[in-house]
Amino acid sequence: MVAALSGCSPATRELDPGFGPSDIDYVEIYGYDYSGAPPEVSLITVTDRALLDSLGLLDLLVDKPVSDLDPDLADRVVGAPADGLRYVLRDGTTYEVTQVFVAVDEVVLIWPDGTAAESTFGSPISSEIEGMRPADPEDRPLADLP
Amino acid sequence: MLTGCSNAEPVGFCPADVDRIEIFNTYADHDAADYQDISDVETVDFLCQMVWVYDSPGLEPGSDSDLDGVGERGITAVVLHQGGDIAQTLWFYRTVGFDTQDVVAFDSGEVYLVAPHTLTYYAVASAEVVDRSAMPEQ
Repeated sequence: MVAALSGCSPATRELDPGFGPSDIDYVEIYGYDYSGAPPEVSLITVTDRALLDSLGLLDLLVDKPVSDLDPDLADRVVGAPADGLRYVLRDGTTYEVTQVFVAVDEVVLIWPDGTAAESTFGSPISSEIEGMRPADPEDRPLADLP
Repeated sequence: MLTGCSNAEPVGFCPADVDRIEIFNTYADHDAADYQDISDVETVDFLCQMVWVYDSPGLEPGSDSDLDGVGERGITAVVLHQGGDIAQTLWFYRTVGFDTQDVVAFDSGEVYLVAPHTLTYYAVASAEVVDRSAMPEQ
């Protein structure tokens, strides 16, 4: 029975980005419609901890359940709203990940090194927040699917 | 770890007449911590009599074994003051895994389990960054 079930749903694992809320200085959010070379990108830098908290950004990634990316889902990412997140930590390092919201419960995560995963958790931020301003697409976190 | 519904009654974390609350928050073995020193009466009462009572499910008795392996995620130390003395110190440990319960350890040695992310107040206020060594050790 277990073997049969395991074949039906992808194995879920939990992310460990290696940092928590107390490590975060600020977060840059790049919003765009996903493509390999988006023509237009907008940006907001969120430094206010109350706003970071209300946006769910402080512990967004810690233990977030993810699974291997389904190729069928990967085929549907182009044009979907994307949030490129750059966490700037208090020690000066950064952590980047891009979330692409293909549909409700269908979120694709892409890291700059080309690795990717999917999750049922997450909702768009850049399309819901005021104060986004135009940005250079080259500045966004890399998010190229293999 | 238990998750989901609980039959436990709401229970606060504060003894009577707390007049100052210090909150330290750090992550795993990192070198820095967020620090808040809260002494205005309204906020202290808000935390002790509202947030940590009505906004959280009750504590479920745990044991020392629940402390095994904690310390890999968020750690929050809360120091409750009463008339210039420390009345009680407690530590909230976020545990590994999605939606797993937090472990709460009191300085009396008691250990409890509580709903995940119960103690989040520190995050919504400005916090001073301090050296991890300033944070009370359990």
